[in-house]
Amino acid sequence: MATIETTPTRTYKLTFFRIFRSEWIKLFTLRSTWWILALTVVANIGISIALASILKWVESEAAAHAGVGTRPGGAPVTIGPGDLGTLSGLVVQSCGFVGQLVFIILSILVITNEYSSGMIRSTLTVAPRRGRVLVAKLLVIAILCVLVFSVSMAIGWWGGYQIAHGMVGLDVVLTSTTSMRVLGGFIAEMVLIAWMCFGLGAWIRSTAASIGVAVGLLLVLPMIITIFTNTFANAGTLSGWRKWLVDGSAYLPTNAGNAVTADPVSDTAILQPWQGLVVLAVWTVVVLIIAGIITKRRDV
Amino acid sequence: MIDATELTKKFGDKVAVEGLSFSVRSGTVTGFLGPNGAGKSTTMRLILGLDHPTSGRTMVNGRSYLSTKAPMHEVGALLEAKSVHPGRTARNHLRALAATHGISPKRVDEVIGLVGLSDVATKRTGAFSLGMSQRLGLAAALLGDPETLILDEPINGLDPEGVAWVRSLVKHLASEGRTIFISSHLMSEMALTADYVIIIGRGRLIVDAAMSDLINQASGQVVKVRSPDATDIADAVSHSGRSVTWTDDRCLLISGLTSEALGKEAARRGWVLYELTPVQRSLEEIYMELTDSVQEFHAGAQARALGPRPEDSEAADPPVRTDPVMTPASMVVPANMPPPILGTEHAMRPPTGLLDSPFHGEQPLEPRRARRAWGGQ
Ligand SMILES: Nc1ncnc2c1ncn2[C@@H]1O[C@H](COP(=O)(O)OP(=O)(O)OP(=O)(O)O)[C@@H](O)[C@H]1O
Ligand SMILES: [Mg+2]
Repeated sequence: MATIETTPTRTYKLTFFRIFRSEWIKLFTLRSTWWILALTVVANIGISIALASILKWVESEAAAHAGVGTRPGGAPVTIGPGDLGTLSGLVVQSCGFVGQLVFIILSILVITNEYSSGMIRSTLTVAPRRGRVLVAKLLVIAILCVLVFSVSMAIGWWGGYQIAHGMVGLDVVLTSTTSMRVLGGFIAEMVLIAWMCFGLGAWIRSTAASIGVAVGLLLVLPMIITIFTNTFANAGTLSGWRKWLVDGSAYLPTNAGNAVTADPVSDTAILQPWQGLVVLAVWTVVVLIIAGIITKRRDV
Repeated sequence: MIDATELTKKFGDKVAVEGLSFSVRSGTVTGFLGPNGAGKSTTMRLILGLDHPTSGRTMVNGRSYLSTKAPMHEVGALLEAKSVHPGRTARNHLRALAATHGISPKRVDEVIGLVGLSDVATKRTGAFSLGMSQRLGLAAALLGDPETLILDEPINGLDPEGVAWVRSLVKHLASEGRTIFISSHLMSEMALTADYVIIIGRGRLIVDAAMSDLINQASGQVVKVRSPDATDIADAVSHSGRSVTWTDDRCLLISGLTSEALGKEAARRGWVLYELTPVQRSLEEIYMELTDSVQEFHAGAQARALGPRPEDSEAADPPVRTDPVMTPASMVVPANMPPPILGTEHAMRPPTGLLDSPFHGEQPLEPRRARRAWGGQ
C-alpha cells in the first residue's frame, strides 16, 4: 500500500443538495437503472405508436364498411369526431402499461436495495439525519419520473400524431383543456404513485415483500374489484355492502389516479379528476409519514 | 473523543449492551475487545446513531453525532458487515459517499491509492474478496479526513502487509491527535497497536485501562524462581498467604510478588537464586482470563478432546497461562456484579508497594481465591 498522505480539507460540509447529488450518483452508477429506463422510454413510445396505428386501422376499416354493418341497436357503424378519444389520452394510456410498473419497482428498489446490501449503513453514517436522506431520494425519484414520462410522452405524442393526424375519430389537438389535464395529470399521478411505492419500500424494507404489497394494492386489488363490479352489474343489483365495495373501490390509489386522467370525464363518476388527485395524494402522504416515522425510529 | 454514558441496548429480550460507560481519548489508539456477541459492533452502531440506545447516550467530540455539520469529517467508520451495493464499482461507491460532503473526486482517487485499490477501482464491489472489501471500507472511513475513526475488525481478512499498514496508519493518525477506536479479536495485533484497552463481556465493561498498565499489573505480580532453596522459599511464601506453584523440583511460580521484592528478601535470608524472572504475560492470556466467565460461545468439548489447546502446547509454563488467579482480584468481574472500572488514573496499584515488607505487606490478591487457585500443587 502507499504511504500515508492525506489532503487535509476543512471545508467538508453536509448539505441537502449534496445528499441529493449523492443519491443521483447512486442511482446512475447502477447499470440496471440505465437499461431499465431506456427500455421504459422505448416501450412507452412504441406502445403509443402501435395503439395510434391500430385506431387508424379501425377507423379506415369502419369507413370502408360504412353502412354495411349495423350496431345491435340498428344504427350504422360510423365513427364521428372524437369518438375514439384524444391522442393525449391514448399516449397516457400507452405509457401506463410498462411505465407504471417500472416506476413501482424502481422506486421501491431505490430504498430496499440499500437495506438488502447494507449500503444503508454507509449512507446513514455519512448522512445521519434520516429524514433528509429520504427527501433527497424522493426528489431524485420525482425528477426521474418527470423526465422519463415527459420524454416518452413527447415522442409518443409526436409519433402518434404523424400517424393519426388525418383521423376523424381521434382528437389530436394538443392544447385543449382535456389534453393538458390528461398529460399533466398523468405525470403527477406517476410521481405520487412512485413516491407511495418508495414509502412502502422504506416502511417494509424487504424488496420482495414491498413489491408484493405494492403490486397487490395498486394492480391486483383494483382488478379483483372490477371483476366483482362487473358481476354485480350483470346481476343488476347494487345495494348494501356490494354498493359500498364498488363505491369504495373508487378511492383505491390506482382508481383515484385513473380518475385524474379520465377521458372523457363521466358526470356520474364518484371522483372528479381533481378529487382523484387529492385522494391519491392523501394515500401517498399517509404512507410517506408512516415510512418516515419508521425510518427514524427503527435501527438499521 | 468518544464518550458513552450508561449505554444500554436491548434487542427484544436480548440485552446486547448494559450500563456501558467509557471514554475514548483523542490522540490514542483504543482497542475494543470482547468475546463474540459481547456487544462491540452494537456499541459502535450506537455511537454512529445507526441503532438507537434503549437508554444512555453517546457523544462524539462532545456532541451527539446526529447534530454534527460534517459527519464524515467528524467520524470515519468501517462497520463489521459489508455496507456497499455489490453492483457499484469501488470508485463510484466512494464518489457517492464523497458527494454528500462535497469531497472532490481527486480526494476519492487519492484514498483509493492510499488503501491500494487503484487496480480494481473500476470493478464492481460484488466481486471483491474480503480483504478488498475491508480496504474499500477503510477508504470510505478515511475519505472525510476524520477526527475520529471507528473501525470494527478492520484487519479481518487483510493480508500481512495490509495488517502492518493499518497498524502504522492508525498509530500515525493517533499521533496527529485523532481518536482511534478499533475492535479486533487479534490480541497480538492489538497489543502492538493499541495504547488503551476497553474489554467488554456480555455488554458490560470489564476493563478500561492503558495497555501498559494492564500488562504490567497482570505480569509484575508473578515471578518465576529457580533455586536450590526452593523448599524454604515456598514455605516462607505460602506462610505469608501468597500462592506458590511448583513447576519442577527446583522451580517455583510465585504470585503476588515482584521480582524486586523477592530478590531483596532472598538477599536478607541468604537464599541462593539461580533464576528470578518476572513472568511477562501476553495480552491474549490476560484477555482470556478476564473474559473466561463471560464467554457466550465456548468451543465445544469435542474440540478439546482433539488435543491440547494451542496455547498449552506452546507454553513454557503451562500453569501460568490460564489460571485466573494471575489477575488482580479487582479486575475479575463476576457476571452478576457491577463491573469495577480500572481507570488509568487510579486502579493500577504499583507493585512497588510490596517492596518494604514483602511477606507481610498489603496483598494484591484476595487470599482465599489465591489459595484455592494455587494451593495443593
Ligand atoms: N439487530 C439485532 N437484533 C437482535 N439481536 C442483535 C442484533 N444485533 C446484535 N444482536 C445481539 O446483540 C449481541 C451483541 O452483538 P454484537 O454484534 O454487538 O457483538 P460483537 O461484540 O460485535 O460480536 P463479534 O465479536 O462476534 O463481532 C449478540 O448477542 C447479538 O446476537
Ligand atoms: Mg462484531
